[in-house]
Amino acid sequence: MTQDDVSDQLEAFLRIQYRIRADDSGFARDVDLFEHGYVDSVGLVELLAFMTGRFDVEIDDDDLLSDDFSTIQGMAKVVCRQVQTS
Amino acid sequence: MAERLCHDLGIPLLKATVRPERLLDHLDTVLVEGIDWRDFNVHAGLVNAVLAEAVAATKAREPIVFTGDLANEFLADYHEEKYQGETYYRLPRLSPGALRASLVRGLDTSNREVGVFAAWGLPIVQPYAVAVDAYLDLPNSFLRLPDAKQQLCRSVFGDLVPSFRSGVAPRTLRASPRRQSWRRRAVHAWWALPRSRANQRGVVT
Repeated sequence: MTQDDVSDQLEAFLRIQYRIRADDSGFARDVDLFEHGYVDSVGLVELLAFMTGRFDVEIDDDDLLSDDFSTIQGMAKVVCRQVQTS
Repeated sequence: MAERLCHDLGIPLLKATVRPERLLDHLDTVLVEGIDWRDFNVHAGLVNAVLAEAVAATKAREPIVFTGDLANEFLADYHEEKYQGETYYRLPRLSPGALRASLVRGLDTSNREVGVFAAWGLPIVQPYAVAVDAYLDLPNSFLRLPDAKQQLCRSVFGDLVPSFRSGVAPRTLRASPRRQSWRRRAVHAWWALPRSRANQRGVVT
């Protein structure tokens, strides 16, 4: 499983779960999901549940609050790192 | 409770009441200024709007609003709610630390306090925010305690919290060295507030 594979699945989940339109030009894999309001606290809890279920990983608390964990690309990087170390 | 707190703090009590149909008059303001659509945050924003309207109507000189928001996020104190056989706000099985991190991370996406009070020209202070690092250092083992919030409150503020408020009689908890460290940090955080602000007459929500 590559980082791009994880990004694909995260993006698909976010687009469906939060009804992000296909033509939303502000949405991208390097966009800060929190600053731009795509994901709120409850949304992150749901996203986290998706990640742990889909990729069978546990995300460290420090990773959850890291700068990486604000974009799809960054989240995919964290997931891949967790998969490799577990 | 509010009357008792105001009496103990020596500040006047401002009662704000609103009829249900008038509450929804603020809905547009809350949705726009609160930048949030989750039902529980819109509900909180509507209550804040009523309070803001009442405070602004007093025409107090340089009012400032102190709120207790953020404590629930910092202590991961959110739970599912059951009502008439239905379960609302289901939470996945996350460690308290992971839940806390998620809740804190998402704080940037809502303006239910700052934005709503600002709509009535009222600045607010969220005192818990000045000790965010200290709260985020609390371990999972502490967050899992059923009375974590009460223990922390008592450890930080000691006998300053009256027993009627915390449900724990003063002096029943002894501060460990770790807890004393917490107290120092919290006091330091409080004094870090600009003095001009700290001396202003406040409103507590």
